[in-house]
Amino acid sequence: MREFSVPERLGGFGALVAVGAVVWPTVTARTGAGLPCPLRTMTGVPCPACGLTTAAVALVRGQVDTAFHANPLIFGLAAFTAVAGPLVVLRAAGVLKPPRSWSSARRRQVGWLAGLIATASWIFQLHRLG
Amino acid sequence: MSYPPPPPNDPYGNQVPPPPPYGGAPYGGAGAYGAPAVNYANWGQRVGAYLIDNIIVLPFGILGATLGQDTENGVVTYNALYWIFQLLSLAVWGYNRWFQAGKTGQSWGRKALGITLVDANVGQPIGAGKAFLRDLAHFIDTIICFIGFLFPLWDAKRQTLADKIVSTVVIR
Repeated sequence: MREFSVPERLGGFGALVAVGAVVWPTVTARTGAGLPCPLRTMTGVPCPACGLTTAAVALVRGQVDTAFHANPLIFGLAAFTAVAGPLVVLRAAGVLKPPRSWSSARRRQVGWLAGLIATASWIFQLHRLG
Repeated sequence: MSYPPPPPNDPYGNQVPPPPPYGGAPYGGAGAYGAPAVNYANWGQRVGAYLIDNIIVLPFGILGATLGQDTENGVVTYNALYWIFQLLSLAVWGYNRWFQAGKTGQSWGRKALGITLVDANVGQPIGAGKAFLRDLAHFIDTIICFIGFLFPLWDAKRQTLADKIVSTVVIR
């Protein structure tokens, strides 16, 4: 079996998150368990990923507005999740070529982009919870 | 005078070789020419190994919570059994995750999943001290809403932030 590309891996993780988001409300209702942000618990300062659990639960329930206001990053993960399945199938069928490793320059660019998105998300969370 | 164009399929021509496919060479490059490619463990294997390592100590936590805890006037109190089971849990965790994994590269969980923790530079087991420091460094992975534990999904060497701090990789 070939190695999965980063978008495919993120899509697979997104599928796991979607399954988790379906069962999570039942788990919290029965056990009282929660998944608080460790940074916010310890320092009071939210992190860029704060609200993702709420956003994921809202999104699988179709509450797009609630999901967006909790953490818009969830839509990026949802996009990867939606694309990954067809991508894997089309590549397995030979319709699309297998993925290729990115060059180090491309990796750097994507790294900067990810950093910018994380910073924007942090500002969003600081505004929402701060 | 001009040189004739290189013949088709000339390996010394100006053709740019295509990038390697996934799995053909690892992300981050295969190192020096002729060096063996490193086969990094995937995220699922790493999560599985970590879960097994946690499940191993879970009974101590459950026994400590059931036999070592009482509630008096709404206040939770702890008896000696609680602390005994906590210490046992720490001892088993330390033996498994720090001593054994530091010495052989494999905790019980990693052994079950066929993966090994090694130094990123020399490819050898990291020793108990560094294995302990690596677990401490997981604090950084945890503090940012556990995002550090997701880094192997996209990182070139499939490292968590703790791996980067102590220069380790997990390989198959």
